[in-house]
Amino acid sequence: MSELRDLHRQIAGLLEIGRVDQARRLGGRALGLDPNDADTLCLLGAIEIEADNFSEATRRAREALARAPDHAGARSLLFEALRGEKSHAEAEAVILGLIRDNPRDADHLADYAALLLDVYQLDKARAIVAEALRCSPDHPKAQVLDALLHVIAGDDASASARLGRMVAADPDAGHVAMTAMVVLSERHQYKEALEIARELLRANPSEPELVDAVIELRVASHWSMVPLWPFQRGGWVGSAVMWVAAVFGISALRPVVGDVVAMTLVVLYLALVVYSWTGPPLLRRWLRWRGL
Amino acid sequence: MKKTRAELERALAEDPFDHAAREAYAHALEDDGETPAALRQWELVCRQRPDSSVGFLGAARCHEALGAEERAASCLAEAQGKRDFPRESPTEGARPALQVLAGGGGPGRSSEVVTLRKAAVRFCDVVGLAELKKTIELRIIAPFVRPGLFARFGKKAGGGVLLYGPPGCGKTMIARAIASECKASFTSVGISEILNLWLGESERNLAAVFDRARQQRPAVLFFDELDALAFSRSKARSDHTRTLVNEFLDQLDGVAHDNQGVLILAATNMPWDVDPAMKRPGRFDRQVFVPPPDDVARAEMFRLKLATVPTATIDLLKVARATPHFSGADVDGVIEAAKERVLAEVLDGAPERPIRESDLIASVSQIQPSTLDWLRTARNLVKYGGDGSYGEVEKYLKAVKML
Amino acid sequence: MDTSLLQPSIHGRDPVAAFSLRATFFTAFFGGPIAAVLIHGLNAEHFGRWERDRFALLVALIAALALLVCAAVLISRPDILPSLPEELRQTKNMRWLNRLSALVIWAALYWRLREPYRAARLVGGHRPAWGAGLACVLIGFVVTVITVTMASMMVGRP
Repeated sequence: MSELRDLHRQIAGLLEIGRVDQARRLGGRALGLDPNDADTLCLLGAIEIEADNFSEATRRAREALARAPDHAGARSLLFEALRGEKSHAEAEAVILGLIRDNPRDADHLADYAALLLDVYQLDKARAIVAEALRCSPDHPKAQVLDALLHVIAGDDASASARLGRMVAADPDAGHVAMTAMVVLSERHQYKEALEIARELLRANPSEPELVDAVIELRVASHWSMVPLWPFQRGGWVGSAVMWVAAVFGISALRPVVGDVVAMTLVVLYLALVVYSWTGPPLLRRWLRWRGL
Repeated sequence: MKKTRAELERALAEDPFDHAAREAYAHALEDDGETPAALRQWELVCRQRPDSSVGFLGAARCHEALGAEERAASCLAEAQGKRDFPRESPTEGARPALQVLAGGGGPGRSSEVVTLRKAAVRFCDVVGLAELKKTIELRIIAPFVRPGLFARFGKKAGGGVLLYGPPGCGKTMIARAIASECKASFTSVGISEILNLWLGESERNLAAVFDRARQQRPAVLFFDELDALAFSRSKARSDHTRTLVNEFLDQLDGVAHDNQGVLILAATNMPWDVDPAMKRPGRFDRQVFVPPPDDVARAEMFRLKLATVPTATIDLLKVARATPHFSGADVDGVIEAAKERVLAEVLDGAPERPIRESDLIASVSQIQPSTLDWLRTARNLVKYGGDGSYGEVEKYLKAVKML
Repeated sequence: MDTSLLQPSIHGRDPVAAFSLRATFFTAFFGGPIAAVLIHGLNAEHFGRWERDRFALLVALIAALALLVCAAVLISRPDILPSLPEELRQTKNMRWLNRLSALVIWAALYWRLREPYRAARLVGGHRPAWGAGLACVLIGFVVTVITVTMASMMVGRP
C-alpha cells in the first residue's frame, strides 16, 4: 500500500499547485488500487471541490464516510461540499459535530464562522471568530474573517489595525493582500487598493473577479469620477441626501437667488445625476477595452 | 611535462572545452582508480568530440571496469565506427556507472536513462522562431560555449533562463536544442520527476540533482514545468511547498553554491504561478517568451508533418493562415482529423485518395487552438496587471491584434 | 467557550441572496414609504432577520401610514393647522414630501439592516430585483391611494 500512500502525496501536491486534471488522473489510479480507501475518496472529493463540482464532492465525502464514519477529513470535505452547494443547515450540523469532537481546533471554528457569515448571522460569527483567535491567534482564515467582520460593522479603524498585524506577520501571503484590498477599498483609499488588486491580478491573471475588481477600483480612483465624490463617499444614502438638498435646498434658495440661478442649479444637479448614471459605465467599458 | 590532477582541474575550470586537458584528466582519474568519475569525464569527451573514438574507448574501458559489459560493448562498437579508431581493447574492471538522466519528449514521460548516442534535438529541428533562436544563440549558447570570449567583455556564462509561453509551442524542444548546442551533459527534471521528488526528502532530492549537475559540468540542468516545482509561496497552502522553493532558491544562489559552468534552464506555461523570487537577479533573471508559431512556421510544420502521408497539391500557407494561434500540437490535431476524414470516406467505399487542401481546411473547425486560453490570460496580465516584465508578450499580442 | 455557540442556529429555509441597496433605493424613491418598508421587509426575510426586525418594520409601516394620513388630512382640511404655509398643502409639494418621507424611512431601515447589507455587498451576491421592486412600487402606490382616499373621506370637508 505504499504505492497508494505515494499517490496520495502526489495528488495532494498537485492540488496544492492547482493541477486538477493531473490530480484527477492520479486519483483514478489510486481508486484502481483500492476503491474502498477513505483517504483516496477524500482526495477525489477535494479534487471536485477545486473544480467547483460540489455535488460530486458531496457524493465522494458520503462514500468515504460510509467506509469510515469517523474520518475527520471526510467530514471536513462534506462540510466544504455542503457549503459550496449552499446547504447551510446540513453544513452546520457537520461542522458542529467536528467542533464538539475538537473544540480547540481553529480550522473548524473558522469554517463555522465563514458559514455563519454566509447566512448573515454576524453576531454569532464574531463570537466564533473570537474563539478561533483565542485558540490560534495567527490562524489566517480567522484573521481574515475578523478583519472582514469589522469592516461589515463599519469599524474601519479596527479592521485596519487587524490588517496591519496580518501584514506584519506575513506580508507576502495572498489572503493578506485580499484582505488589504477589501479594507482599503472600504476606507475609500481606492488608489492603494488598486495597486494591491493589480498585484493580485499579476499572480492570478486568469481570475475574472480580479479583473473586475481592478477595473472597478480604477473607475473609483479615476480623475473623471471626482464630481461624483458625494455619491462615492456617501453611497446611496449620499444620493438620497443630494436629492433632498437639491429639491428642498433649491426651492428654499429660489426666492433669495432668483429663478435663473435656481434653474442653473437644477440643471447642474440633473447633469450630475445623468453623469452618475452614464459616466461610470462608459469609463468601465473604456477601461475594459483599452486597459489600464 | 605531465600535469597533476589539480592543475588539470584548474585548466578545465578556466576552459571547460579544453579537450586535451579533459582527456588527460579522465586518464588521471582512471589511473587513480576513480572509475565512476573517470567515466563522467569520458562521457563529456564523447559529447564534445562526437567524431572521435577517444571518448568512446575511455567510456568502454570504464564500463567494463564497472561490470557493465553490455554498455562497454556498445561503446566499443561506437568507437570502432570512428575514423581515428586505433587497435585497442577495453581494460578489465567492474562497478556501476553514473547515469545521465534525461526526460522523454511528451506527456507522462518518466525519469529514464538515455544513452550517449540518443539523437539530440538541434536548433535546426525547431521550426520557425528565427528571431528567438538568434537571441538565444547570442545570450545563452555562445557565452556558455565560449566563456573566455564573453568573459573578456564582462559577460558570464551559465546562470538561469526561463522559457515561458503557451502550451505546445516548443519550449521543451528549444531547451533540449540549447543543451545540444552547448555540448554539455544534460539533466532534465519534468513533472514525473517532480512527483517523485515529493515522495521522500524533497529538499535532499533536489539538492542531489544540482550536485550531480555541478559534478558533470559543463552541464545543462533543465526544469520543465517550473511552476510545479517553484510554486509561488504566497499561494502555497502547505509548508512543504514553501521549504522546497526555499531549497531551490538556495541552490540557485551563486554565493552558497558554485554554479559556474552550469546552465540552468526552465520552462513553464504559467510564469505567474512561479514564485517571484525565482525571477530576481542571480536566479532565472533571463526570461524568454516562446510565442506560438507564425504563419510561415506553421506552413513549414504542415510541410514536415505531411511529408510522409499521401497528399495532393496543397497551398500550405493558405492552410497556415486558416489556423491562427495554433500550436505545433494543434497542427498535429488538424492533420490527424484530416487523415480521419479521408480514411472514413475510404472505409465508406470511396476510392483511396490523398489528403487534399479541403480536408485540412474542413478539419480546422474541429480543432480549438490550445493557445487561446493562455493568450487571453496573458492579455489580462498585460492590459490590467501593469506587469512590465511581459513586454515581449505585449508586443506579440499587439502584432496578432489581440491587444 | 459559551456552549450556546455550539447550538444549531441555521434553521428552515436557507437564506438566499438579497436585493441590492441600489434596488431598494429606487423602489423607495419611486414607490413611496410603503414600498420602502416592503422592500426592506423582503430583504429582512432574505437576511434571516425577520423575527428580529419585524417590530422595527411594523413601526416603519405605521409611521408611513401615519404620514400618508397626515398628508391627506392637511390637504382635505385647510382648517387644521392653519399656520402651516399654503404651499405645503399643495398636492404637488405633498408628493415631494411623500418622496422625502420614503427616503427617510428607507434610510432608517437601511441603518437598522446596515451590517447584513454590507456583508451582502462584500461576500454574498445580489439577486435581480426588477420583479420584486416593481411589485413593491405597485403595492405601495395602491396602498397609498387607498390610505389617502379613505383618510380624506373619513376626515371629510367641514
